[in-house]
Amino acid sequence: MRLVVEKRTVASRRFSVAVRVASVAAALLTMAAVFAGYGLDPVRVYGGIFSKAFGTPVGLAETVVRMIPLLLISSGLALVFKAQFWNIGAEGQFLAGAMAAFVVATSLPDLPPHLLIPLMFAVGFLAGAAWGVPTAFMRAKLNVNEVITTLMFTYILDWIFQWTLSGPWKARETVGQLTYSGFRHSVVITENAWLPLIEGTRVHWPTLALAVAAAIAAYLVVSRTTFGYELRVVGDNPEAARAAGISYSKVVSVGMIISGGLAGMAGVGELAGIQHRFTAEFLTGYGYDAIITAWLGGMNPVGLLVANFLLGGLVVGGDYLQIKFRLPGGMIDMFNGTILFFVLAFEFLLRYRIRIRR
Amino acid sequence: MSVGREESASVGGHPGEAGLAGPPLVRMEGIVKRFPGVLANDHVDFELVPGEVHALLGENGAGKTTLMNILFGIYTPDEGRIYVRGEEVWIGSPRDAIRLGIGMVHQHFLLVDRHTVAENVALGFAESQLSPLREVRRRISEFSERYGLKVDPDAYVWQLSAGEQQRVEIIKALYAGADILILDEPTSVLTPQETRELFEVLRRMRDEGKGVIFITHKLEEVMAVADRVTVLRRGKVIGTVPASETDERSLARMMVGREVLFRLEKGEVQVGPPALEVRDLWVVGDRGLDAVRGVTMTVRRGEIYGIAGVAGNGQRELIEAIAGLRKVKSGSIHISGVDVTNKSPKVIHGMGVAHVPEERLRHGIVPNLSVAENLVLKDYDREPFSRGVLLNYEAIERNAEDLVERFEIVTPSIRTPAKLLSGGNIQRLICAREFSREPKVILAAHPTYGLDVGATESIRRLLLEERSRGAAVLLVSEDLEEVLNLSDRVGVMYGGEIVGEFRPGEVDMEEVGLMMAGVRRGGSQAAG
Repeated sequence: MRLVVEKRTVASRRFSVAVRVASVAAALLTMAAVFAGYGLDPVRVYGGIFSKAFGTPVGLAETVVRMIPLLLISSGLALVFKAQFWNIGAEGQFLAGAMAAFVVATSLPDLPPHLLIPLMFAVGFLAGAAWGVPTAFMRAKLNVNEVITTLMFTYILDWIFQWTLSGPWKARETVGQLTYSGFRHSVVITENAWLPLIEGTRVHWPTLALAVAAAIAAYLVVSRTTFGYELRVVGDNPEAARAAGISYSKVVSVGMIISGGLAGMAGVGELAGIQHRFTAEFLTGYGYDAIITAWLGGMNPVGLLVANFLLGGLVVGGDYLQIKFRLPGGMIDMFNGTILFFVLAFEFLLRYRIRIRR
Repeated sequence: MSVGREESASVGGHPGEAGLAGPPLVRMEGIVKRFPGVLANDHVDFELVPGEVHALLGENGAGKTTLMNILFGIYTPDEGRIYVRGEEVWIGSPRDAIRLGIGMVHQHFLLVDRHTVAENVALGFAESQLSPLREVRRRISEFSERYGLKVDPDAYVWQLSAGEQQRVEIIKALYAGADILILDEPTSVLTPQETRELFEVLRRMRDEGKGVIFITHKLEEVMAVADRVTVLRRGKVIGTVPASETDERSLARMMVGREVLFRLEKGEVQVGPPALEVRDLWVVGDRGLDAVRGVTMTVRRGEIYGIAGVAGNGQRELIEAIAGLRKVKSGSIHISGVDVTNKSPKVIHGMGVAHVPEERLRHGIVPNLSVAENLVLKDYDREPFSRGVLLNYEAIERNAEDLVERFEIVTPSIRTPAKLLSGGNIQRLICAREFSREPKVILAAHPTYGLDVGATESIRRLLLEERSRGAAVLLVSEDLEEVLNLSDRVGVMYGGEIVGEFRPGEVDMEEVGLMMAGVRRGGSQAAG
């Protein structure tokens, strides 16, 4: 008896969905073993996550809160991934957007909300794009691998951010006649810059609307426009793209403007909708988690919505795990890592078929 | 030869010459190999006896290479049995095959450029680790002597011509102890002289009682060197016949399943004004050396200018420079009198230059995009295929339906990914895309390379139709017969220069071969 591995020429739609579902199931099973190792009953743990994240109105609303940045970021990632350009620095582009919006909000605190908020989103988009585009240039002109540069750019900005929190942006607080600065956090931005919420929740609906629109728009851009056509040609066969006169640097640059810009807007939403100020814990890894959902959801708005909703629920459930079962916080990173690992590993099944003979 | 005769000849017919005694070297029975959507080998029987050159003839996609990859252990069969020297064997990997005395020379050579011939041969033979190069050198000389495989063991592989590299591959197989040698389309990279030398080598091996399997789709080669021929069509064996009892015509019929035109009707065409003018063109190649060295040529409308030559003599760089894909160092290129030197591919395409690229899979199509989307690769951003930023799928699909019918592209649907098409249909797709806009200049690089007889015929006919329409065609091909049959004028390229220019029929094959090998310059300077 031997295993034979062969290239698969086409994978049907149903099969690709089945493989994706199976990959998540395999990740859940693996983590179940880890939970059991901690002496916990996996059924209770998963039951807890599920009922917490999806079972109550409050939990559902929190799940949506986590889904918003994930959906916005992953829409852009799915688009630029079509060109086989691997932007794994959305975390930095997210931060760039938030920082730019913070500057806008603190410099123009008296602008009315209906002007200030759109301005913040616009500037946040530009900042995210600006932080992403150099990597596209470096790839196109100098042939520097974008997996390295996009990740490095995140570290650069994160350190700048950490420095501003200890320096120029560190809030000075006044108690009576005493002015001091102690904790590493910024001032709270003007209430004019706060996003409206759905009554009784933390769901900042303007960003939610943007995210859903972005998922649909990204799909339409890829499948219906000349630029989307160029993205697909560049991703599938850069040599043929060159012969057809399609400019690689133009395509990946525009792709990174969109991808970085959407990540930047997600950062704006997080600052203006939830946090309202910067703390050292402003970044929670949405930029990385969105890589998982961009893969899982593919270039399909429904797929993106489902994948991000589920991962949002997992994040919520993870917080609950920490509190309820006193599991270490790293467990959630491990959870997400396991999912990504299995999603990528199962991609193999979409490209090859394995058969057992004799 | 009747069809009935062909079928009854199956696995019959013995070689004329040596070695009838003993079991056959190889017997393959009822081999079945399926790929997704394709039955590559459908109950194939094949036999090789000692002391024969056995040609495996068939169109592309007929299953020749698949069958031999099974014998060499690269694929495993889904059904069927293999016997080597009378014993049933399971060949699970090339290592198993080599142990059984089977050697294979692939179409693309597997040599390390920066190592010498001797080092390449020594690679992969464990026993030579102790007594490295001296022993290897000695045996290389021995093989050279015995079979006429002339090659210097101390030369670096990158210094060798394609023909010499092929000899190294053969020596590697012999060194591993092969007495069953498979050659996959070995002549596609050779000059006529080199081809003759190769055939001499194969004859000597046959006379020693070895078995040689020779994969080809060229009929004249079968007649020149083979003792027996097995013809495959669509994965099935059509018949096995002694070469001495058949001729090219009936082999072609077996291979294609119908009559094939050998002489293409090439009508007289009134030659028009110059469409492509190249003046003293210098182009740098990938290695930083001058690949095109002062080429000057003029191609007029209604004319096919053929470039003959062994691959790697600057043909690719010349075509790429004209298409705008490679920087010109000095000199000029004019299209219909307009200077396009160092213009972008898009501008040059817009001037009416069509390009049928070599390596059609790498440069010509986008494999996962549909046939319809591939057909607008050069025009997707123009009316009617897009309006503003939006694609117009209605127009794209109407265009595809029209071209699929006009150019006879065989595809399940216009939404099928282009990669699922056969080589011939991919080439027809590229021609449809490039010719449908009535170009003034056509650059055709190896347009029929690797295509079967039927597809080759249709692509050649398309080129002739374009010539009649008034296109100026620049044809690069290693297939000398193709160049001589299609072209109105021929330039021979060697070392980046045009070393001779003539009209077909003015110069004999021998002379052309010598020019291709860089031995002689000449030919009449045919007026442009």
